Amino acid sequence: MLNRLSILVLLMLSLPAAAESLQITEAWIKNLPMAVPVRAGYMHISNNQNTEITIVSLQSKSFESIEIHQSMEVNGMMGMRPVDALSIPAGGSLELAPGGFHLMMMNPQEELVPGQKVTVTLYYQNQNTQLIELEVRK
Amino acid sequence: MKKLPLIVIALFALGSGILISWLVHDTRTVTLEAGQWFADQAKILPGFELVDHNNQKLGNPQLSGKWSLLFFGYTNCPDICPASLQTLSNMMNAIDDSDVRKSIQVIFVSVDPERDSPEILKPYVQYFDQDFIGATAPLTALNRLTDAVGIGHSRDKTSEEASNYDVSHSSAIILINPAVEFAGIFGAPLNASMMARDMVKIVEHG
Repeated sequence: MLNRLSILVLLMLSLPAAAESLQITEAWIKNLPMAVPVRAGYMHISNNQNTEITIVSLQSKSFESIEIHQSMEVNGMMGMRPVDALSIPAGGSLELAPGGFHLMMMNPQEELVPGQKVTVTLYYQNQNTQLIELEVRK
Repeated sequence: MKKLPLIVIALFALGSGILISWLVHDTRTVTLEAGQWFADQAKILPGFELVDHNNQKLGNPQLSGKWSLLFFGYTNCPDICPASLQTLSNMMNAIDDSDVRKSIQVIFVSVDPERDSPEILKPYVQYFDQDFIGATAPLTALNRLTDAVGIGHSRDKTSEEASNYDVSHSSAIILINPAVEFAGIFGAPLNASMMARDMVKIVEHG
């Protein structure tokens, strides 16, 4: 009983942290054959909190590393630049979509199959973390 | 005397017909839904030679007799390139007429010959469509083609690791006609159904 109580207390204590999390929807990874070492990840991020939330890094067991990149046109050519962090203002949202911001997911640790869910940890500037799932799509 | 006006009318009609057909035929650049078709202003492509995903030559003779859509990119490009190839795949699927479909070939030209060997290009292009063709060539040979169709590409110097670099490239899709002339261009953002309607129009009237 005491154990259950302490679990309950722990759960309640963890609620404020959970309440600070971002709303992630339409999260997916464009799959490619294994011969190619990079994949792009996309999602819609909403921040319903009253403070800005900044994502500083991402990690997943399914990839060697994940960076934030932005595709952009320079002198008529499309290029990519790494982005250090993604800040989502209070009450605001941000779209990671083809042709713009995206996750650059490098060296998949195993072959991914469409329909599979890949777990990714978001690390915030305020030291909080959040687990999210991205669906692998063909 | 009564027949004269008829002859005049007939000549006038004939003349107008010729004039109209000349006007219609002199299409110059035709603005389509998704791109531009140069029609009879197409430019002859200089001789070029790439290697395709089966290690076979891909040059002017291989483009002859078909409408070719060329997209330039590289396999380590996770965002723009898969999105563009997916659009081209959706475009092909959106063309109902199998004769039109068969007269079009989609070619992915890698501007990163250092990393994109034929062995990598094959599974990559076929992931999007079994009929897509992958090709590349050493930079000097590649530039003969990219210069002729106005496609810029350059390896980013900011990349820290030698093996992990990005390549900036024009994202336009180049249309080559069956006479192997530079015949049109589709710019970003690409739309599969608009391109499909354009290609049907081009193939049927070109």
